[in-house]
Amino acid sequence: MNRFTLVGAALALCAGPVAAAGYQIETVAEGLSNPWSLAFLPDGGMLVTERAGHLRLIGADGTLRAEPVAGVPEAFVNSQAGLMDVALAPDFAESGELFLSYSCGTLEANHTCLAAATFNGTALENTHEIFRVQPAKRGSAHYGGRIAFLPDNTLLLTLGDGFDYREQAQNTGNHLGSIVRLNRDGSAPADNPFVAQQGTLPELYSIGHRNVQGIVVDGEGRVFSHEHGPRGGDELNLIRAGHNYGWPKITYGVDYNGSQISPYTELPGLEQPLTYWVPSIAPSGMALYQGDLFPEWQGNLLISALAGREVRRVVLDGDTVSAQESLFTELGQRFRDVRSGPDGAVYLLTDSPAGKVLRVVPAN
Amino acid sequence: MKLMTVLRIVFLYLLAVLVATLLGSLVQTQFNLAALQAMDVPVDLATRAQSSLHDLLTFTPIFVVMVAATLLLALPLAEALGRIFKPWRWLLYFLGGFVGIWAAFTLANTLLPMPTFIAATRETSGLLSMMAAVGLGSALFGRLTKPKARRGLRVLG
Repeated sequence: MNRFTLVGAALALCAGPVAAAGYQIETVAEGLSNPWSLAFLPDGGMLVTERAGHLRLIGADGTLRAEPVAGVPEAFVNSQAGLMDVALAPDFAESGELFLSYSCGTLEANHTCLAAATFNGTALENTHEIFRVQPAKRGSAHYGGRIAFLPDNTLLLTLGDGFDYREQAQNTGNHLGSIVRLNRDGSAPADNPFVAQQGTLPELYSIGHRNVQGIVVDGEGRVFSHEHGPRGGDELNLIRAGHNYGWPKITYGVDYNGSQISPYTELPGLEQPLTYWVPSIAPSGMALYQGDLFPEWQGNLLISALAGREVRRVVLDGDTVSAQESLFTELGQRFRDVRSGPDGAVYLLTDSPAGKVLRVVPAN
Repeated sequence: MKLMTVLRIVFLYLLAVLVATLLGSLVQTQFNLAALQAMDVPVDLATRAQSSLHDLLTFTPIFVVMVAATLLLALPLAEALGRIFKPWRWLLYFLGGFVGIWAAFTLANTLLPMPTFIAATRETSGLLSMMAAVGLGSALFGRLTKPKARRGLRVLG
């Protein structure tokens, strides 16, 4: 493992005071093309997606394999489009099954897609698409793309509104701007919240989202997600089945050109975020820290940020945000993802054509 | 060209930019509100006025740059063509702003990361309305700078 050390001291800010923590940062792998997501293998290795369409293997010895993993579905790669999340099935140790989210199609007609495959240790086998957002959209923005598993082994896939289709986030007749819940074969569970409603798509779990790129499920089964706002208005939400999170009817942000998207920040029947960020930090990934190396971070949400060039630590008190802290700002990096590793360390992906996998451990 | 003439042209250019920008801002606000109303979001007169005012304060600083650059190129071109095709002077000025801002929208959508910089231009009706707003500003300049008809003794006809 290529190691270098930075010693950082966290700076408390925002909602309330939190204890500072000393840490050092090591480079696990570098030279990755816009790494997007990370999954920890049972043998100590890792799988890392590159937005350009490659899945890379970091062996248990910490070495980045030179050749990408074979068998990855072909992604439509352009701007925000490409290979996105990789998530291991809860029974991966026995089944070897994993899931990949990616954009598929062409610039004129593309979708967020989800594929299942079996990882044999060196390559993917039996790769097959199990879900495709409907309808197709034009352009290469706002795909969502994060995957999380619920306690009942169904999976949640976060989606985006396609940017130019923001009003469709309120339309239950399509998948744009929603979070969908799927069985592992891609079918819709019979107890999904919109199943009984005429004219709605059965996969929908929640609606009214802009571009959801972070989702975690905690030990109590609570689902937290965050989404990019426009100019301001990034949100952290507690997701409840069948609820409407308001975009674009309500928002705390304005359009990039300065115009108002909605005059409302709240309306009846629409959920309020747990917290929101103005100006935007551009939240890109999220982890629930569950390690032992940073006891003071236990149970906190760690949110990677692109524009914010930080990882935002969010302290929860029940269902409310009680404190926040900006971490790793001294690196000056756009962070694409953050993960709580099985070794208790925090893992970071930097967003760059020469991106890195970083490992954060206590300074001592 | 006399100094006063130059100053008058500059003043009328700024007036045309102002009119086009204000009209464009008001137009795009109405399209955004219409999209919300289509989703059953209530928009009363006070809300409409508040949103329009908001955008006049926050949207115009960017839009005025687009309009100013557009008219800086479009107005001389319209003037040149207007001298050749005199009967269509007003139409040429209108088209100068109308087509010019379309080119500016296209350039912005190409260069900026977001697919469409101004949401109101996503649909054809909104795009044409925004183009017409700038066309009117351009036509106003053409109208105010139109040479006066020559007066004199008519000896024939």
